[in-house]
Formats: sequence, structure tokens, C-alpha cells
Amino acid sequence: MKTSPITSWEGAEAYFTFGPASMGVFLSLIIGVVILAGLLVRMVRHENESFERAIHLYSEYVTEGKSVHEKDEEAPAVASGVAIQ
Amino acid sequence: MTEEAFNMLGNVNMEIYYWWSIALMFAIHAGFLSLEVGVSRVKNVLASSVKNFMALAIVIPTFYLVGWWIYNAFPDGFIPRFDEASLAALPWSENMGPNVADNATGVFWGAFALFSATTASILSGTVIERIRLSAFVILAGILGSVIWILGGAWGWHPEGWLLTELGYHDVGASGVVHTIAGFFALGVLFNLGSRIGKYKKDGTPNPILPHNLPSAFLGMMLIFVGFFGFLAGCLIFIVGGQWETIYGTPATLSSFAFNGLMGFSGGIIGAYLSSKGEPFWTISGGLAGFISVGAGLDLYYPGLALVIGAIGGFVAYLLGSLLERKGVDDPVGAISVHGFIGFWGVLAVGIFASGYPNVAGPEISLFGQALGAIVMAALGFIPGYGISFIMKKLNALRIPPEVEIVGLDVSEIPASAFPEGIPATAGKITPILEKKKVSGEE
Repeated sequence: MKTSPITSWEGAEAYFTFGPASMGVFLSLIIGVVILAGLLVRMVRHENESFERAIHLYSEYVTEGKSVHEKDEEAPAVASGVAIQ
Repeated sequence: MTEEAFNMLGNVNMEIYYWWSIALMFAIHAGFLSLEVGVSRVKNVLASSVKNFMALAIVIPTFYLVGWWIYNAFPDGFIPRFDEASLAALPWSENMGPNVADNATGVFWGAFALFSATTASILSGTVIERIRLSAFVILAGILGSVIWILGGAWGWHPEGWLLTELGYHDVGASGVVHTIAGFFALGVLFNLGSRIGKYKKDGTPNPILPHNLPSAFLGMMLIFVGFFGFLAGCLIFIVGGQWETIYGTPATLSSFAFNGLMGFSGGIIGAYLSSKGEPFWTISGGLAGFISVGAGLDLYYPGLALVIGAIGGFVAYLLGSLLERKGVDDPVGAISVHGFIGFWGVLAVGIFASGYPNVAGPEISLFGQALGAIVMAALGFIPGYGISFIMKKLNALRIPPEVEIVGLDVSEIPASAFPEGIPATAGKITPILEKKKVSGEE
């Protein structure tokens, strides 16, 4: 893609791709805004899905958490030389 | 040396100066990350980290899109200018990209973009463990790329109306960055509420302890390193002339070194005294000290800076405790350290440095500083409260209580912070549970 706004470095000033206030610059800006908006939409969807799953599994998680803590409380086994899983 | 060679060398030095100022300011973000991770409970450390990455990723491009233009277009208030400087700050202008005739705009924009990200990160710590990431990035983008920079146009610009009408002086951005961000965060917390379990039924606070206090200390130390980049970016490098403040008055980096360091030390001492050596508040006092002297870094006698910093550090802990007792759950103390101590920093210039002349406005006065500080607090609080209120009504601000109890990491983040030792994040529990359900395992 030919994007140079200059044909010589002699007297060149703003030389970035497409050149100032050009169609390419505006298109890049629009795509940039779309990417930001897309990020936000994706983020909200990910949150909603994750939260819904977490709420659905909440009771099981709490049960699981309790059992993990019960295992932790067996820690005195270290003192008697029994290996901990 | 020819004049042309002198100017070119000067321009290159100027670019290098701001370039490293930008790099140093990244240490502020490393610091906020380490601080917030340390203060978070184990179940939320990755979510707190992601919030910090995303603040940077959102604020930098939005500041490119609108922030730099707001700074250059709104020094008169709410009505934009359409002069040469304002048009040159539009994102499609010839100055907003590689240009061999403009060495300055890119590095100035970069330094301001990092100021913006710092402002947004001040909000970040106050809302940990219960805000939706999407809500945070929207608030961070608005605070970082619109609100604070509007305050910057008013009070941190050579033609800002607070300077030209009131003689407002805030050279190190105590009000423009810290007060605005702190009061914005306060407005958000009124709608976001406290973390589950923070308060008893009678309203007295429960301690929710940091899971890794040394990580929080390291974060603070990184923020101090980054502050030297932040403060460096507050001076104007004049090729062939003396440094200037953003208000066009002469200054030196040496004055910043004298007063910044003395204020920092005073802040730690003051916070140690009032908190009786509580370590988190003692080290936070260093930040309060920097912010206390920030607005008058170019003017104070260093011994006075020590006193001003000590008052700031002393008061920061007391205000932080008061806010906690009044139901404001700010886990990192940012509303006190940034919001209220930033206010104190602006006021301190009026108390201790009235009468200094300005180039483009009346002399510095207590009235001008007090009014300026109130403007900054209101500019932060009103949009922070208003926008978060709308988000709350849309149910888009806070995570569900079940998720808050379980933890954000296990609910939302596809990774594990401590897979080998901490049960709460032992693998990604949600998929593990799902797998068990599918396979019928018990």
C-alpha cells in the first residue's frame, strides 16, 4: 500500500502515513474508535457470562470451599510426619 | 557552534528529557499495580492487576482522540477555542504524528497522557474488589481523558482562566491531578458502596486486611520513583533559556528536588506521628508529603516544605480514618491522600506563598487558591457522582454479591495467581466445577 504523503525528504515536515487530515487518517481514527467500542462490548459480554456462571455454581463453590478449608485444618499432620497432598 | 546546531541540540535534549519523564511515570503504574495487588484479598489479585493494565490501555488512546484537544481548546471555561493551538491538537492535524518540523508535541502529549493515566489510576485503588471492569474503564477514560484535563486547561495552562482571573498556582498538579481524581473517586464510592463485610450492622468498620502488605510497600516505593518523572514533566524545557513553570514563571529542577524531597520526608514523619507508626499509613504519608508541597514546589523554602509535608502526612491518616468511620470504604486511602491532601497542597500555596507575581494573571492569593481548590474538588466530585449514579441505575456499576463473595479471579479471570498454595485460587475453579458436572465426578 502506498501511503507516503511525500515524494522527497527535501523540505518534508509532517510525513506520517496517509498525511494530515487525509482519508487514511480519518479511516484509521474511525477504526480505532470501533476497536475501543468493541473492547467494551466484549468486556461486558465476558463479565455477564462469567458472572452468570459464577452465580449458577455459587452453592457448589461454597461447598467446595468448605471442603478445601476442612483439608487445610488437617495441617497438624505435618508434625506427625505425614505427607500432605 | 552555529545557532542552527545549538537549536537542534537543544531540541534533542528537550525530547530526551520528556522521553525519560514518560518512562519514569510508568513506574507510577507499576507502583499502583503492586499497591492494589497487595491490598486486595487473594481472591481478587488478578482482577486488580487487569484493571491497572486496562486503565493504561484505555486512557492513552482516548487522550489522543480527545484529551489533548480539550487541554488546548478549553482554557476559557466550557466554551472551546478554535485557534491555531486548539486546531493543532485535533488528532488528524499535522502536529499529531511524525513531523520533522515539530520535536515538541509528541513528547508533551506523551507526558500528559501519562499524567492522565496516573489520574485514572488514583481512582483504581479506591474501587477494588467490587467494581465491574467495564464500569471502571469507562470511568477511567472519562476521568483521564476528559475531566482532569479540563481542570488542566483551567488551572494548569499558561492562559487558563483560573490563572488569568485568580492567579491560581499549582505547579506540581496537587489540585489539577490529585484533588480532581480523589474527589471523583469519592463521588463514585457514594454510588458503588463498600465491600461486603466491611461494616457491621451498627455501621462500625471491620478491618479487611491486605493479603500482602510488603507488596503494597513496594508499590508505594515505585510510585515515589515515578513521581520524579511526573514532577519532571511539570517543568517546561526552554531551549537556550531558564526552565519555566507551566505558568511561564522561571524555575529550576533544583527547587523541585529541594522541596519534593523535604515534603516527602515530612509526610512520612507526620503520618508516623498520627498513625502511631501504622506502616501502611506511614509510607502513604510519603505520597501525601509530595502532594502537600506539589502546588508550590517552585516557591517554598525547603524547611517550610518539610512542615507542609508533615501537616499533610499527619492529616492524611486522620482523614482516612474519619472517612472509614463514616462509611467510605477506600481500601488504599486515596481519597484522603490524593483528594483532601491535594486540596491542602493548593491551599498551602495561598497560606505560605501569597504575593508572588504571575506573568499572566494577578499575584498569588489565599482567596485565589481556596477558590481554585474548591473548583477542582467540584470538577472531580460532580461528574464522578453523576456518571456512577447513572451506571448504578443501569445495574452496570457493581459486580453481583455472589461474585464478590467468591472473588473476581475465580469468576472472571482465566488464570490463577497462586496455583500451588492458595486454595481460593487453586486453578480456575469454575471450569473445574463445570468439568466435574459433565463427567459426573464427585
